[in-house]
Order: sequence, then structure tokens, then C-alpha cells
Amino acid sequence: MKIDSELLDNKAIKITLDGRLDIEGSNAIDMQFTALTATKKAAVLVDMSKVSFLASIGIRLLLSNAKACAQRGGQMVLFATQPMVNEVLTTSGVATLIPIVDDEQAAIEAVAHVESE
Amino acid sequence: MTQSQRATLVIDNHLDAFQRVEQWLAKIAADWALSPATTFAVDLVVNEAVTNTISHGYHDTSVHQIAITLIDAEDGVTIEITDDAMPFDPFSLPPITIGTDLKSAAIGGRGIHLIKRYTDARDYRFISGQNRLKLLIIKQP
Repeated sequence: MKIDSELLDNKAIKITLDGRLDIEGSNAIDMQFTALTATKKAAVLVDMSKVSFLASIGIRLLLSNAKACAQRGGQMVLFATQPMVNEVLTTSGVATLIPIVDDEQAAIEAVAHVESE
Repeated sequence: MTQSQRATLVIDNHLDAFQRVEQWLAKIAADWALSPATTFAVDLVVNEAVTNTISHGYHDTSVHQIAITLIDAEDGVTIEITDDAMPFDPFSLPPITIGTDLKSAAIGGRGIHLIKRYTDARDYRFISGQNRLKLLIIKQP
């Protein structure tokens, strides 16, 4: 599991995840993902296009950090999910808790109201 | 009538074993020509069930074995998981509240919900000191 991050022009953070969000993958990125998403007020855009598998341990990682992000006044949005991963997000109810949009542009627009620190 | 095929993997009750499970499932999916959707469902259900057993089923530090068997039939794949963990019927728990508000939504507890939603038949028994979980996934194109 790989994780990359990029600071966008409006101080939003774009995170690209690559691999399987199973127990091994989630453990591998847990600390870095938390440091990027849950430690300051920020708009967080998570590129899910390279995530091929998602289990409940990965859902836990996304939800706990989306919560922490929101508690600091920020917001997390997921974009470009693969169809089978999207089905897990919908079936598990995550899709009603974290916005999921089609692409990066839609993600930028979804969190445009957040003034990242 | 196509004869059913079966394969069994025995792993230790350690989370490091998941790499073996992943490789084993990938080989079976290729050998049995399972569709991507069926492969994903089998992968997810095995992951959730075995993670539960390893994370919550044992209260000692001994090494225990968990046996995962897959049976391929014409219409579906049956998953059988046998372990000597604490007796636990995953289907005895009440359904989770999905929640619509991030602030109050529960973080965990979604694994068993996913097992229920990704399987078409489920059976749990505790026999001779062993949990025996049997799950059917109807094949998807």
C-alpha cells in the first residue's frame, strides 16, 4: 500500500492511495494518513482511483480520520472510487457520511467552503 | 454436471497470515476462473471473518490454526471457516445503525454487516469446541 500527498494551491491536501485497504494496507498507511488528515483544519481530497480493495478495517481508517478532520473544522472528500470499492462504501453506509465524487475537480468544488490552515 | 472443486488453507491466528490468504485467493480465483465481482466478494468475506476471529477470538498467547475452505460449484462459492476461538455467532448481533451524521456515526462494527450483505446464505455452528462458519456467495457474472 502506497500513500502520496500534495498541497494544492488553496492549501487543500490531496492524498493519493494506491493498493489494498485491507488490514495490512491500512496498518501500513495509518500513521501517515492520520498525520495528514487529522492534525489541522484542512480540506482533504482522497484520490481512491488506485484502491482496488476495501475491507472494514480500511473503512474504520477513513471514518475515524474524516471525523477528526471535521472536528477541526475541515472536511474530507473521496473521489474516483473504483466500482467494487464504491459498492463497499455504499453498502457499509460510508457514502452517506463522507462525500464521494467522480473526479478531482468535483472534489475541489465539494470542499471549496473550507479555509485550510 | 460440473464436479465441484475445493481448496483449503490453514493459517496461524496472526494478522501477518493475510499475505498468504491474499496470494491463495488470487490463485484460486484464476484457477477457477471466478469473475472479478465474485472474487472481490469472496476476498471481502474471508477478510472480514478471519480478521474478526484473529482480532477478537483468542484470549491467550498460544498459536492457533484457522482453516479456510473454498468449494466451487456451478452456481456459487461456499466458504467454510473453522477455528478453535471463543464461541461466537457473528449473526447473533443486532444489525448496526449505519448513521447519517459523521459526528455521531459509529466508526467500527461494519465487518459483520458486510459479511451479511455480500453472502447469500449463512450458517454458524459451534461443534466439538470449534466455530464452524459456512457462507455461500452466488456467482456473479
